Amino acid sequence: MSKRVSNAVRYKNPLPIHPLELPELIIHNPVSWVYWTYCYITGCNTLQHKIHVDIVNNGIVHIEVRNQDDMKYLWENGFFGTGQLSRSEPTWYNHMQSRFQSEENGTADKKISLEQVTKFRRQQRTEFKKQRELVEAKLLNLRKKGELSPEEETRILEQEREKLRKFKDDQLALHLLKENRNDNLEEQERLLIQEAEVINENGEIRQLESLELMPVETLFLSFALDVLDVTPSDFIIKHCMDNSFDYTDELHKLLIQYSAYHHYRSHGWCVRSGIKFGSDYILYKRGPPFQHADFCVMVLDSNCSKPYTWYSTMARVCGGANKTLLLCYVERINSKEQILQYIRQGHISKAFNSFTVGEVIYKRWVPGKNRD
Amino acid sequence: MYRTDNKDGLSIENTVRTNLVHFQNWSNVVICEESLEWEDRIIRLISGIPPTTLSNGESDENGNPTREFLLPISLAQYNAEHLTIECLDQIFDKLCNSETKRIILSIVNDDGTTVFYFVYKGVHKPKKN
Amino acid sequence: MPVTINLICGAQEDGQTILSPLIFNIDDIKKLRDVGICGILSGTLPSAAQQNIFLSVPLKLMIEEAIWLYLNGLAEFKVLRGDTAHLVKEILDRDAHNIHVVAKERLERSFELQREYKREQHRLKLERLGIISPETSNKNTSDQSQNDKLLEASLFIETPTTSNLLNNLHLNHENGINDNLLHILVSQYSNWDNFLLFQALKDKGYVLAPGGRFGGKFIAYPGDPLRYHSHMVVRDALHYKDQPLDLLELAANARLGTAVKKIWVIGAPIPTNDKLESNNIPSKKDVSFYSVEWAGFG
Repeated sequence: MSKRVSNAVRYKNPLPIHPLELPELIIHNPVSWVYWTYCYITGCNTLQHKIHVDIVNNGIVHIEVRNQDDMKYLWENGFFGTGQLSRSEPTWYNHMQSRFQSEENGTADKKISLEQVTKFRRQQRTEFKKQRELVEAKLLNLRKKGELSPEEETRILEQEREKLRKFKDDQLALHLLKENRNDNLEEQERLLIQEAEVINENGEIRQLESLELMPVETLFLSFALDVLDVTPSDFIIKHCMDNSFDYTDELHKLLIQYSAYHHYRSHGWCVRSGIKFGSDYILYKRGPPFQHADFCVMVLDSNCSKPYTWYSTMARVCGGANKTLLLCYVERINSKEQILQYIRQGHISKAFNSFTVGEVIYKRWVPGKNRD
Repeated sequence: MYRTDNKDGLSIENTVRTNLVHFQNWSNVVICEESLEWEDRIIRLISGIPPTTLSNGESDENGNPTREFLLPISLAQYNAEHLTIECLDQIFDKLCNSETKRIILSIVNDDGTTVFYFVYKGVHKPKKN
Repeated sequence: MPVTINLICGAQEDGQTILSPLIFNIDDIKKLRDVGICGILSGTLPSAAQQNIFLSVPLKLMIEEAIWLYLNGLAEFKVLRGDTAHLVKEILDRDAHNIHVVAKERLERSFELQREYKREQHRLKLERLGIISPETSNKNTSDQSQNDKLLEASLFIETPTTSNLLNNLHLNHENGINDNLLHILVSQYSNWDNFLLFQALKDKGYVLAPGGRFGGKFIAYPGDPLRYHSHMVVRDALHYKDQPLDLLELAANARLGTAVKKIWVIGAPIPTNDKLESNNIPSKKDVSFYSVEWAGFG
């Protein structure tokens, strides 16, 4: 880990698109012209490979980047995504690594070493296999007797599988506990389970964390920057519209959320989720390691009117965190049918161009204080 | 059980479980058996033991924290939500025992974060700061 | 003895009468304080009109407070002053017949008194002039009808500077005028469910105040606000079945709650199967409450 690299160097590029590195051009040396031209023509500032994203839809779309280098790359070039087991930068793996290292160096007396966990995991695996054999034998027995309809068989299979999975959990904890009697059983148990999941059978730390991208980040990185292995129109149609061509509320919300996101990104802001403040986005001048965010953004339909208490709550929350509340109004200027047609024809930029953005700062005004 | 091993790993319950075990350092985290069908979804609680006693939480005779119950729920940038007061009533009625004073709402966002809120049944005093 | 809530007719929005409930009597204010109705003092001090920190009577009540007091028999309404045209119209619409009869009777009576007076005057005048004698004066004369016509034409209708009708409305309990005013209060009131929340919290012993400053509908105190800090911010009533919690709103309010040490209370009246109760004043309903705050981690 290059911990000593300064932030200014580490986060040199604000987006995952870099300027061409060209050699110095010496006016009175024609050879340098040729070389410069050569570099200019052959130079390439697009990514060598498209970053792979796993798109999971369990009712809600989650977009995950699981390749270690890609995770790092997206974080360092514009602060895209959030580590699922970290505050924001995906640092969980490194934390685990340093924790296990310090344990191996003997700083922690009652904790378990990597090897120990590996040993337990193998024991557990053997035990698990035994159990599985029992289950299979039972099923075979039933089948031989011919008392089993296919439906019933699936049902039993499902049941047994569930049992086995539970067994895997319980068994592990039990085994580990037996061999590690200690004053602090609870804590011991917790560490054991946690670590058993973290360490694979070769004694290495498993990467359990992935970098999750917001849907709008995914759109931005595929539509505006083209660094992901998904196309914006595929993403919208397959994952956000479920292949149905209706102008649903969900589609509308996605489009206005993206319009606002793209608007601020293209004006040079680092835009991240504002969930902690109950807002849609927060805006950083450069990014989280450099300074706090200055603005909370709420994305609203241009004709949206909220009850007064809503504005006062938002203003107080933002004020309390030393941020300015920005109401970002997005207006649809083309018909729904028109937009659907653009999306169907793959004219994503035309679809996004069907929206305009305007913003208002909302601030509590105190007569006694705000004299200027 | 493991995200990469198994399709179940992708469920919201597992997302919360992984977060509790590997980020918040909870122990004995399990997904409860009882479930509640609500509109077109199945609601299951998660239970586990926090690393330290939470505010208004209970401790056993040794001062160790006791089991807490969590309600996982998704929040996406563009999807509609479904947690009504009626739904909360049903959850307390069907998935909790009568002594349960509060559950922990676990909101899984589509930005990669999971955030936690106490939800008390009835009118309740705030925690002491 | 119920206290008197004075209703001031304020500005009209969309043809609706806005009534402000005010209390001027210090003893009444004390009485209300004892039942946990605090209101907000809203009168400026003549000697220090520039400041708004120290205020005096009248005490302004929340609409919920006024309705609650009336429904519990602790107060009665009186229309004080203001542009009452709309109010009169609304009352007329509701109770047109009764008021029409009252007004007509009143007018008839006024005419009758005038007629009697004029006839008497006329008689006395004729007597003085010696045209008739007191003995014959009571007989019908041939030109009686002619005189009557003249007399009818000379009757006048008083154009009052104040409305006797309205000034006396609060006395007419049997006419249900108080109920009418209650109807107007209720109709100008945007969300009846909020009253049900108010009522349920009041029943639990909380003292409520407007919650605008904390981003809620009410703030609730466990007792008199001068003795206790407020513990909770109460959100506008939710619909029990079809108003999902806005989770972003929840996040914002939990965060705000942590900052101001208040828990965020949400509630919804549980719908019952009975049809809408008569006269729009529903009876008590159970309200399901939940209290939300940040869990302190994550």
